[in-house]
Amino acid sequence: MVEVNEALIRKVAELARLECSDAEVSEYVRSVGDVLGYVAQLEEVDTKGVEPMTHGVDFVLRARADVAEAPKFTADGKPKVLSAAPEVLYDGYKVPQVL
Amino acid sequence: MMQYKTVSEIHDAFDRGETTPSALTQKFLDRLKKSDHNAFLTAIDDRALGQAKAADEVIRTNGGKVPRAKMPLLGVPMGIKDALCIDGVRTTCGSKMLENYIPPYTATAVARLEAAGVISVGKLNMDEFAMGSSNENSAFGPVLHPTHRDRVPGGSSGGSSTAVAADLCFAALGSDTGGSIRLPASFCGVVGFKPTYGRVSRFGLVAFASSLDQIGPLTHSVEDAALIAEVMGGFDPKDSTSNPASIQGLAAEAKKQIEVKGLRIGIPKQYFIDGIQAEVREAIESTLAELTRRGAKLVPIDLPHTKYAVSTYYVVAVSEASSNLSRMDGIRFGVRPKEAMEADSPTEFYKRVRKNFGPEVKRRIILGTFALSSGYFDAYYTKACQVRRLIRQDFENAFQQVDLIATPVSATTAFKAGDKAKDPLQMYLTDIFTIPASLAGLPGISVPCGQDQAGLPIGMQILGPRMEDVRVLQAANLIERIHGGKA
Repeated sequence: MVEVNEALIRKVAELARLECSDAEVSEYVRSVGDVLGYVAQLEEVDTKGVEPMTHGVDFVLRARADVAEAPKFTADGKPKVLSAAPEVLYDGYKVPQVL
Repeated sequence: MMQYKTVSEIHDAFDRGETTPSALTQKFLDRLKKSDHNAFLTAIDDRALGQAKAADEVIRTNGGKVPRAKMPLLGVPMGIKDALCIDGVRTTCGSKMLENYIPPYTATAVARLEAAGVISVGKLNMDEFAMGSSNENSAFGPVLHPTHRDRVPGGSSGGSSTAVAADLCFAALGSDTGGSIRLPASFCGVVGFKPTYGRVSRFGLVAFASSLDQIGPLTHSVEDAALIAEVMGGFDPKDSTSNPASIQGLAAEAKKQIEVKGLRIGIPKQYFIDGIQAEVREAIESTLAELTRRGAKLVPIDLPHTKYAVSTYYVVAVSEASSNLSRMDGIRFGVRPKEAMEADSPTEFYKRVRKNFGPEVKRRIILGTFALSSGYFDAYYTKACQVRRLIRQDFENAFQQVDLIATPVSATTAFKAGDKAKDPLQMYLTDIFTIPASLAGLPGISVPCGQDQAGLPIGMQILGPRMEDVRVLQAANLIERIHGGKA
């Protein structure tokens, strides 16, 4: 069983791009430790040769035809999809500068 | 109390000219705005009143009668869990992260209901990203229990269950990943139906754990649950896990009386454990006794991997969640605070955005990221997926001997607010009786079957084999009749 300590929580939080305060880290050491401690019971199950069930359905997931739908516009003529953008600049998604 | 118990009664009232879709919609809008249960996050006034007016017109041009075959849910005011997108209506999923998110499209389930005449009166409060069993994890405050204010309404569809029970809308949509429809329905004394996984399109449902999430109705009656499920269900090319089988006729079939004589009801010993509240046990057992009196046979069954279900779920669900929530990055989705734009690296940018997750969501992302991380993947994720198959096989073996399975929904009635909030593991164990069916993708329903001494509702869970939604609904119908009608 894995030992849940501050270093592990900080490492995983970094992988998930989550910032955690010291207080949060110690709370997660306790609660994540509790949950993983409980989950360790799975080790006792004999799963030799059992195919992992990774989907909720039996059939092969199907993809639909890759056909674009007509774009939707708001009453004032702006592309509707922009309503979901965190920030908009000239009818486009504004993304942060990375270089 | 609402004078109409079913959609059919509402339609009769429309036909008699006793009320109109507009009047009924206005009544619910007034009630939901006056209520202090915190069940709704957004009222959808103008849009709803516009839909209601159109419904008035449909009745008027149809000779004053509801065209029931064409518009089976005409003029029915429903609340929609805030995990489901409605074009142009704020959809928060109970999170600060989506506080300002206005989707440019409508979820298939909602679109089909509205095409059948449903009026969406508002968006319902929920645990943040559907992660919780008590509705104490919403970024917009907890939902109160409809009648006992010191109690939780259950979660994560707690806004949905409270709103239906307190007559703030006539019916509601919820979503169930590990029990999020059945548990709150049980705690609040309404019907909550989770159809077979894949029967209702998830297109437009904010994803929590995609292999488990399923949309379903919360209603006053089993017949309405069946009707709503039929209208919104069926194949949708926009959901790759959508089941191609037809769902037509579900409501009519569900109304037919089940053949009780010889009906084999499985009683899994793993669900009737020590620690079940005495009144819950009594309510379930007396209902089962009545079913036996009418000719049903109770068959003891063994679901040996039940005790591993919560562990399995809390690896599988959090793993899928950590992946699904990676899109909350301030670029594709999620708020983008000003300080994020001032970050000097993409990593710092993401962190500043993702501060907007609440503590339970962060906990589950950490658990999921851990379970999927290099060095632990096989021991946690793969292992849990293998045990998941064994849990499903347990059910398949059981359904060789029985037609249905009956269990409590929860070991206790609604617990006190704050009781489990500080102990995540105890909170996770609340879902011990609902999680196994979710892992197996089975249809399940919670139907009221009594009250405890404090007057808190008790729910009975009926589970059926995959795609046997009709059988589950028919049995629930019978239990509803045994207990004297509709909630």
